[in-house]
Amino acid sequence: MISQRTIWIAFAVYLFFLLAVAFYENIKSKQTSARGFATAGGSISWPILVMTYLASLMSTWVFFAGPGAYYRGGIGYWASELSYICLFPIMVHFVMNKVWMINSKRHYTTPADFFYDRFKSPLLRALLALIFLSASFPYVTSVLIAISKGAEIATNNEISYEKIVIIVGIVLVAYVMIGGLKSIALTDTIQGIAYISILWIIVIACIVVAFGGSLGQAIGKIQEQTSSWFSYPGPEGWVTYGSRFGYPFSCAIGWTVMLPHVFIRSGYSGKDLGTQRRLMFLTPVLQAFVWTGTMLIGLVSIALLPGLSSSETEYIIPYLIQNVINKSHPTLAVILMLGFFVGALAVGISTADSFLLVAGSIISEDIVRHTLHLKFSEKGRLICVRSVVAFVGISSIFFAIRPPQLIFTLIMFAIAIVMPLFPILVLGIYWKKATKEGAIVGTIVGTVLVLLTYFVWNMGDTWYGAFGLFGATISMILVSLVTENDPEDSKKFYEALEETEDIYFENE
Amino acid sequence: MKNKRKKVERIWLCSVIFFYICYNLPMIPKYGQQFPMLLHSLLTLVPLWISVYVGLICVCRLYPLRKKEKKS
Repeated sequence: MISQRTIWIAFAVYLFFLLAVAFYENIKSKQTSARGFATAGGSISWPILVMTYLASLMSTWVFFAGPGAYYRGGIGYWASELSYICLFPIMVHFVMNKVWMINSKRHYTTPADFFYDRFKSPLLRALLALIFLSASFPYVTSVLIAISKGAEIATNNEISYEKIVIIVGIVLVAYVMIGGLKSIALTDTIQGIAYISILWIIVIACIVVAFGGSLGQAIGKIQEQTSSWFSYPGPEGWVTYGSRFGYPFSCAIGWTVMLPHVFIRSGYSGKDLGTQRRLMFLTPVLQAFVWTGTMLIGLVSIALLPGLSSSETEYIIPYLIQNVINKSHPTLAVILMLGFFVGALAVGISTADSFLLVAGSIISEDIVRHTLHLKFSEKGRLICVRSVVAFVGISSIFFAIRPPQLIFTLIMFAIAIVMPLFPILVLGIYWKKATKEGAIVGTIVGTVLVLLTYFVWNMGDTWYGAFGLFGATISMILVSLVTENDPEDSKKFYEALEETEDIYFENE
Repeated sequence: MKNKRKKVERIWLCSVIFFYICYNLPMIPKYGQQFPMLLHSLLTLVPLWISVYVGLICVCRLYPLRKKEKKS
């Protein structure tokens, strides 16, 4: 539908823009430290923080599997998403703001730094580094796959999948290496506005073209053809009572705060607590706005094209454009297809760059520096993290060309595998008697339970990391009760928390 | 002030957990029923969102930020 030439022009313009922003940010900020490179050193203002958080949170799911998920899951699926989106302010106020406050004094670079400062355990740091890395590295590959697949579909397989993977991958690596989190945050902001706008343009165009602008008509058609769309568990039985809890619960914890790239944004990168507050207020509203748009595409699709297979709904937007809109409005169809491609590129890159950066900093800081004890000067640390970003990025390109099954396996439980770390975080903040032995055992027990949930009990699709989270909580509490640590280990950690409460809040 | 903050935070957290549990009560609504599903969402999700935001506003008022950070 779109010519190769058009796609290449769109790529060139877009990728040039990303590199330009990276160079601009690098010249403006002059990166001098690994911490500044990886976390922006707590300097990001609220509009940028909100948008980079949102953009890095969403992935190509918004344009690919997402509308298909609403097609198959029904309105109950959307309701279940709304049930966890609003929990973000709770997570931030009680947990991530505390992380932010302590970080403002203690200056962390990776998520594992926080846990190490509290528990002073090199083993815990190494375990956490591996877990966070396993949850971030595969996403870079998966986004490259999705973007390249999107280009193939948009051009009816005219364009070379491998060429797209290589070119997008190289530009991605280059601008992350050059600019770090500050350039990522800026590009994420622009990309976020772009893909949200494009998503809703597609939504409105589909409703206008297919139903004359009448959502009521679309709903009426679904009532006639697939009335189960309006009740639990949905047309394909996705939203059972168990999955209505399990999936949103895992998203509320794993996806919105514990994945390492959002952990850093919500806990380290904000400029001040005013910025954190705006993040709390705005994020649920904007997230609901995006998911509602995705849901409406699913709604229009099932009204127009009931009975599609799972593989057809995976790419429902281009399917809708090619098979419905193209018949009556061919010019609009070309514009929308280009919009779909650019939107998917924007949302995909804004996620991949975040994961690439955090994977690079985890390897260079947690593993190379702190676990292998290789010493570097500050400049050396910066070179190290940039080099690791390049290595991870190039590896991701390689895996995207010939993706091993392991990549898809790791993505499947990325959200789940970080869930057991949440009680370690919460208990570490609120319970002074929590010990490093408790944290280590909790981490191991939680991780094992997540693996059992997926590979032995086959309940991963419903319960995700819930069993791991509960197991980690109970085992951490029990082991902490029978062990004891030197209070000096966590003294500076808690002093930082108390001091910052006085620094940032008025007291009556 | 500290006690009042803790009290409000506790009420906030409990109300959110309450409505979240209400939303997730098994067997409600029954499968395949449209109007009960709509009613269930209105009676649980709407109060859930309201309780989150009302609580957030109250808590932010109880933790007024210093206009200029106090130097430690």
